[in-house]
Amino acid sequence: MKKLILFYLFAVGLPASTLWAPGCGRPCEEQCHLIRNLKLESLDNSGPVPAEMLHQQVLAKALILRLSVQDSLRPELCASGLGLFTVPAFAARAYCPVERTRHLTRLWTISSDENFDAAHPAGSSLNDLFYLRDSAVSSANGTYEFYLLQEPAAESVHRFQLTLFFPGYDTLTTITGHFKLLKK
Amino acid sequence: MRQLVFLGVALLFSGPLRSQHLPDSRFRAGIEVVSGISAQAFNEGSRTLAGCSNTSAGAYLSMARPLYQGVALGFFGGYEVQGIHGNAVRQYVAERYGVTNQYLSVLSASHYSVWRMGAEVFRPFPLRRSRSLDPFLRIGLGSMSDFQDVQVRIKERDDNYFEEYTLVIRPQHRFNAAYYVVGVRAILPLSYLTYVRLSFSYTATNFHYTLEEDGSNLTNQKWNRQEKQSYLLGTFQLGLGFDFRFGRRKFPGNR
Repeated sequence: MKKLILFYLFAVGLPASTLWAPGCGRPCEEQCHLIRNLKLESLDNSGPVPAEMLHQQVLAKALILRLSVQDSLRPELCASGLGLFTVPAFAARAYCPVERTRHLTRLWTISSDENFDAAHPAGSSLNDLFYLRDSAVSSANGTYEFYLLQEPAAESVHRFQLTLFFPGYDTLTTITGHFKLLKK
Repeated sequence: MRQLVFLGVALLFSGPLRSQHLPDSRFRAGIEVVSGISAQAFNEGSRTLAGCSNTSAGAYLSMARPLYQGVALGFFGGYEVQGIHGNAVRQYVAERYGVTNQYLSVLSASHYSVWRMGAEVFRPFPLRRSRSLDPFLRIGLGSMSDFQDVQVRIKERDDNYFEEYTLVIRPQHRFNAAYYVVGVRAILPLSYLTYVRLSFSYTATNFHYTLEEDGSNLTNQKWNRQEKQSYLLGTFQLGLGFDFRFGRRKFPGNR
C-alpha cells in the first residue's frame, strides 16, 4: 500500500504540482526569452508605407521609431534565474506569448537629447507623444513601431533614446542617429 | 428597361405568329451555361458594394411543361458567379470615406456567388424546320453568398495617422435577392429529343443585405457601424445549352 501511495505521489502528484508552482511554472510566464540584440530605426512615414529617411530629416508627425528585438526562447533561464546579469547586454523577459506588446508597453521610455517643447525638456520622457500600436503581427515578428503624434515646438536635430526595463532582470538602451524633425 | 419587360410580356401572351404549326407540347428539361456583363459596368461607379459587379457566369437547370396553347410553365435553379470590379470597389470606398488627397489601399475578393431558383413562363413561336423562338420570363429568389470582406486602409499624406476598415456583407435573410429575368431563346433541333438553346436575357436582381463596418485608427480606437443596403443589379446575359424533350410530339396528322 505504501508503495502504491509513493508511486502515486511521484507519478501523478509531482507533474501535477508544477501546474501550480509560482513563477515559470505558470503557463503565462513560462516562456522566458533571452534578448540578444535591439535595433532602433527611424523611418519616414510621410508616404503610403514607412521608408528609409532621406537627408536625415523627417516631418515630425510622420516619424516612426521601429524597434527590432532579436531574442530566443530560453525556458531554462526562468527555472534557474542564473546567468542573467553576468553579461550586461543580455536580459530576459518573461511574458505571456499572446500579450507581448502589453508587457512591453509598460516597460519602455523614449527620450531625446534635445528639447521637444516646453513640457518636454531634453532627457525627459516623451512617452505621451509616442504611440506604440499593439499588433499581433508585429509582436510575433519581434518588431514594435512607435508613432510620433505631435510636432516639436521648433525644428531641431534630435537623437532619440529608447530604454526597456525588465523588472528583476536588466535595463537595455538603444539610440537612433541624429536627424532633424520638421514641422508641416 | 421597362419597355423591354413590357415587350417580353406582350410577346409571351400575344397570339401565335405562325398558327399553322402545332406547338410542341412535350415535357422539357434544359441545361444551360450563361455569361454576362452588368449594365452598371458601363457606369463610372456604384453606390453600394454589391453593385460593384461587372461580369457574371453560371449554369442553370430547368424543367417546363407546355400547358395551354403552347404557353409553358416551369421551374429552374442555378448558380452564378458575379465578378467584382476592383476599380468600382475602390471608387465606392473613396466616395464612402471622402478620400481625396490620402493614400488609399483596397483589398477585395474577385467574385461572389448567387444561388437562384424560381418559376419560368415562356411561349414558343414555331419557325421552320422545328426551330422556335421562345420569349421567356422568370421570377425568383436568390441567395447571395461568399462575399468576402473588403479591407480598406486610408493613410494621410505627411502624417502617421491612418484608418483601417473591414467591410462585411451580412445577408439579412437566407434569400436576400429577388429578381426577374426577361429574355428570348432560339431553339434549334439536334435530334427528335435533343435541341440546342441560345438565349439572350436581361436579369434585374435586387439585393438586400446589412453592410457591417469595423473601423480602427492609429491609436487603436475601434468602432462598428451597420447599415442596410439594397441594390438593383442589372445584367445582360448570353446563354448556351441543351433542351431535352420527353414524350410524343403531336403533329397535325396525329391530333
